[in-house]
Amino acid sequence: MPIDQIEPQLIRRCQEGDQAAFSQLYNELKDDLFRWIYSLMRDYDEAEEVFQDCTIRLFRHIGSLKDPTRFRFWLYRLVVNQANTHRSRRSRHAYTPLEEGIEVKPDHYVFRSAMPENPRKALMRKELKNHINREIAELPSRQRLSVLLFDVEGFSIREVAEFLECSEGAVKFNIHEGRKKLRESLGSLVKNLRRIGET
Amino acid sequence: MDCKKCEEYMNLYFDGDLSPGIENELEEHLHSCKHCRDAFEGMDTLLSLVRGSSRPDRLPSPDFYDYALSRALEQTRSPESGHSAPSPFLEFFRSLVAGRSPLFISIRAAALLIAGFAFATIFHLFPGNESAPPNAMRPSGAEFALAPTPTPAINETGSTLLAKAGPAMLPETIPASEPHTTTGQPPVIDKSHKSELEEALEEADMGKLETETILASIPGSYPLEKESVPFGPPLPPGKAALESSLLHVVSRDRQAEVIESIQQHKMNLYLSGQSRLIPEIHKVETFIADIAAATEKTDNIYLNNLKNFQAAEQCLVNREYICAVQNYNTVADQAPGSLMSFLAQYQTANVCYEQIKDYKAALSHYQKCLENYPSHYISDEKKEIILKRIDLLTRNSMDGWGPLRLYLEAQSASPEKADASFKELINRYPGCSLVSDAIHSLTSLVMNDPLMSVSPSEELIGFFQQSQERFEDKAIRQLLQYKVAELIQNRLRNYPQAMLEYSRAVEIDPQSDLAEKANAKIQALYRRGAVFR
Repeated sequence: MPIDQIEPQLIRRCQEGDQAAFSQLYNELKDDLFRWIYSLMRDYDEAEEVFQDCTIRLFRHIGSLKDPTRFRFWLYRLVVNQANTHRSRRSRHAYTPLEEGIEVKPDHYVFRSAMPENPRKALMRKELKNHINREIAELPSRQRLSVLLFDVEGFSIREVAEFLECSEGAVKFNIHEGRKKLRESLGSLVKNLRRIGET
Repeated sequence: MDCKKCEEYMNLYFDGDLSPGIENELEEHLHSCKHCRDAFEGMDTLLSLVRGSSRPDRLPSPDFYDYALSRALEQTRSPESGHSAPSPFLEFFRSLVAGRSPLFISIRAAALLIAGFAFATIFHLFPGNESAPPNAMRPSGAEFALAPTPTPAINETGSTLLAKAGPAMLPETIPASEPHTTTGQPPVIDKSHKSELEEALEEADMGKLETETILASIPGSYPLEKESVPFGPPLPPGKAALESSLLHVVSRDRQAEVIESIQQHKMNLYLSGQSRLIPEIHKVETFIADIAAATEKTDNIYLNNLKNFQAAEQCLVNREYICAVQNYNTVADQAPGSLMSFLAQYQTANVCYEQIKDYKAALSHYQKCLENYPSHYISDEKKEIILKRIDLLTRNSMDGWGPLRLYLEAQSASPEKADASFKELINRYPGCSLVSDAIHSLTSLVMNDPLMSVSPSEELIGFFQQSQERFEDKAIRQLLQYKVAELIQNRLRNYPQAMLEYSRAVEIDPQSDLAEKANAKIQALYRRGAVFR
């Protein structure tokens, strides 16, 4: 069930400490929650870590939510904060991901060596995704959040404005600027992709 | 509508603010103006790329979800009410983490090396079922690693798994061993250990241990986060001091608990195929071996097997494949039927298949994997690989696996070499079932060429056209013809010619699925021609 359709009644039961309600709420939102987190982190393993932190904080702090109809905002804010915390923590303990280390090139290990249909294509796709992720990460944070909330998560302009605590005009400006920057940085890629019909 | 107005409307359109009337106007303008159409389609593509890259390729497994839920529930409950008994393992670490003095911090660094690993393992993996996380952290019998009977380590995990799977799955191949009679009992936590631990800590706190030397070895990044440790860079030279300080404070029975817990997580890690973390396992394993050595119980077969397994993995890293196979074989022979034996068997098969290219041996090892071990050892992912490879090996055993060798070599070779190998396969073994795969691969090599140069496409078209005459099989002839058309369409961009080639492909066998696809292409090209003319 999409997060915006969760019954306020269910939230209230959670606030009263009803364990069954916790489980029900969790089951209804877990997939969407994970997708949100993934779109912010853009790394599967990190998304899993943040997901667990978010779940714990969700249950621990749900009592502090005053208006259950605003659950979606509240949760998204929690997710964004948690993602930021995780990121700053990570930069404090910067590490090289194992896959990129010298000793642990994936082809040294045969444990998960399923034969890909077309390694070059898979590699291209991965590089493409990394490239897009990098460019999205480069956007100023308000522009990035505006684009993610509006173009990816389907929040309305008004909702984004409320979330970012700014005017609707400012949100539109941020979205347009964000898209413009992405078009500039990813334009040639888009052109190539359209030419070879990859998309 | 002029192009400036169009841009404004496009923005409104992508904001979802455009009224239907103006939408029609926009559409008309886009039909007539290529510049604006390109801009519109470009933005559309861009947004779908952004959306696509924002979605994970897969969602977490139900096990991960279950574990996260139970962990969250447990954590929500525990601060207020003491009734949810924390696992002794957690309790142990909590007692370390709760300390405030500098020494506590140093001990915490070492302790969290293990804790972080254990946590990371569960984070990444399945905990089994709802009740699993506490159980997974809780040793179900502390005696095995240091027990007088040498074999039970690996079987311990086996029996834990069996306990989950139920008695019906009990495999005959697992040798029953004495110490298992205790595994059914709830874990007995001797509280005296805790006080012993506390005593040791207090003693250390009062300055009886050399706090300065330990402190000097702590990396500057304080506070230490438990998640960051297992993935972080190796600890600086003071690591040994940290480990020995941990050995000082952890009583012997505690060591057994730590070992058992780590073993369980390690097996989970192996079973789920998360080989990315293997170097981390090695670190922990070495640490375990150190503990075992410190407790003078090194004559354990399990530890020997472990050493051989690690040696085999090290051989793989060094690309010494024969040496790897020998080590794996030793492991497989020493404890037949055990999980580690299965893993060694599986690895031998993989190495034979992927590196040594001894397909006969690979086939026999893969078959042994299926025949000699209980089915629950074989994860779905592994099973898929095994079955796929057995199928490939048995289907292509003619000519001493020559065509298969060529095909697999081509798959991992550089594009130029791959091109030559695929062509050789088509020329030398026209009757082989891999020919159609080779045709597909050749085409995608050219199609995915980022330089998009024309000459390789023309060359490949020529090759496909020549090859057609040599094949009697209608399906292959049709596939070759279809690929010719595809290359002309996508690479040479000669659409009328492409339509003609597609129709030739249809003629070869009008009833086939490929003919249907070719017809669809013809129609699409026709429509495009009508729009863009």
